[in-house]
Amino acid sequence: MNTINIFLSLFGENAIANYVYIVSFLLFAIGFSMLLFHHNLIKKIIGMDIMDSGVYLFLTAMGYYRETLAPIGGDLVTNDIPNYSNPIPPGLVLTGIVVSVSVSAIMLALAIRLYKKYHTLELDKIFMFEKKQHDLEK
Amino acid sequence: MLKKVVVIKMDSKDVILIILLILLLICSIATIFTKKLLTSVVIYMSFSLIMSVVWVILQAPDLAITEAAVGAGITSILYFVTLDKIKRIQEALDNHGKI
Amino acid sequence: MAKFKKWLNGEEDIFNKEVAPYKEEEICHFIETKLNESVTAKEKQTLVSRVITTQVLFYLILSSIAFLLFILVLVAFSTHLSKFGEATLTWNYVSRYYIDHSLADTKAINSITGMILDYRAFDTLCESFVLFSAITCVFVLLSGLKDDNLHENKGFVFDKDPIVKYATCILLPMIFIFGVYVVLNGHLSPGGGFSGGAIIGAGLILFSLAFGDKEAQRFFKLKTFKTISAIALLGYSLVKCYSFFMGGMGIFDPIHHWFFTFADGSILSGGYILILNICVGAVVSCTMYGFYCLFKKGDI
Repeated sequence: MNTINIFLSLFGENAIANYVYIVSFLLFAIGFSMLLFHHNLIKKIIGMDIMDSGVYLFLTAMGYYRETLAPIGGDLVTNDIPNYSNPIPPGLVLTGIVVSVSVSAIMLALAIRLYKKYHTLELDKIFMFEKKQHDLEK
Repeated sequence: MLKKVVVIKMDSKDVILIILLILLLICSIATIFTKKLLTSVVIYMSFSLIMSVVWVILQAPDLAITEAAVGAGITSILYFVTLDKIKRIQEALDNHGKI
Repeated sequence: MAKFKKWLNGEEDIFNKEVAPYKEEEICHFIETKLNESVTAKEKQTLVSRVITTQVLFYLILSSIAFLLFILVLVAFSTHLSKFGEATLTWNYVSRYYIDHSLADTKAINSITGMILDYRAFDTLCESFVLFSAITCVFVLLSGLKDDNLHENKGFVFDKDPIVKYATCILLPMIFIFGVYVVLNGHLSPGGGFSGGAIIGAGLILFSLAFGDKEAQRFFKLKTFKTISAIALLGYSLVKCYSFFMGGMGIFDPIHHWFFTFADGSILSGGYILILNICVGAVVSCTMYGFYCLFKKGDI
């Protein structure tokens, strides 16, 4: 019973209100698990794209305020209560999305080169072959 | 312990957002467990489309345009061409024994 | 140099001396013949199918536990943040300054574009250089793959398909017009160089899919790609350096003072942001189409 209390005290009071943050961290975790545990190279690259999406969702959700508009308009003037959402996170994410495409393109090109050399996309077989060849060369 | 009663403001936007986020989680889990690579790429495409609707709800229309063009268009085309190229390398191997 | 070219073409490996001609089932056979060593039955099984040994199982369980702890820490951290959608700590001075002063400083109605192309312009310049270096890497990696054997069946082209052709004829002008609109109106409405460039690049990819590579090469060759990228990147650097050197807001800037004095909301009122948007859009669209061409046929 005491351990359960300690475990529950880890979580703060905004567990339900912050559902978007929790989902974004779960997306990050799913992508990271694909990147770590999956054996196929293409699946690894898709996992990294999902991981990117989780980070972008977290950043944009931090900049969103309830009952506000996007910061586009002729007369943007702020009060103490904000009436426009934060322009910094979308600006950062906008460049990040385009860069993540180029990252995944480089990784796909590397995957094609690896397939041309080893004729498989499974990482285990590539490692196994490299190890065997290294042992024999000694 | 969770003793304090927390007041949570929720409106109709939150309901749509929760449904879309659940769909996102389903899509991302489905990409792990599909056997075929082509199927997982198509599911990733739908993931990007749902993501672009989420950007509209989160008041970021710039991101929605970019994600719809990039995630659902260009990235998945790159994946398709990669799978096609791998298949062609395999066929060349079968026919000639070497590339 | 010749060795490097051979390595690029995949004929010779510098480290392993020779590229192995085998399929995934023929790994054992290859080892037996090439390296003069027999393969035992157990090794064969480990090579062909994955066998979970106790060591592998130990690592798997350990990494799973570490991974679950990692998720737990992340989720517990997110419950301690301020409430989603409420402006408390996050309503900070920087974003407030951007919203209040971006129209007066940068003459851009869309304050996101005003931020990424005026206050943080060198950040965007470096992103463009990241794109350019990425396509250079892909060119080095994939330009050796244009072998003749691979092009026996063309595979991914809808040359003979009338449905795709006519649908493209209807769709393509709209896609290009929308892309150009998004690029040119980047400082007035949602969009900008990145979004519009991606849309134009997707349109070019659609054209190349529907009408074949020969038709696309009539107006987009490697030389075109080089020229557009170089002019856009150099133009971006020069214009933004000039703008920063002259004070950034156009007060002491004779060109800005003389030319860009229009009412807010007209298309030329953005000043240098219009030129920068066009440069970024050119770089992004060329890069996207170049990725597709390099993956498709190993050449632009």
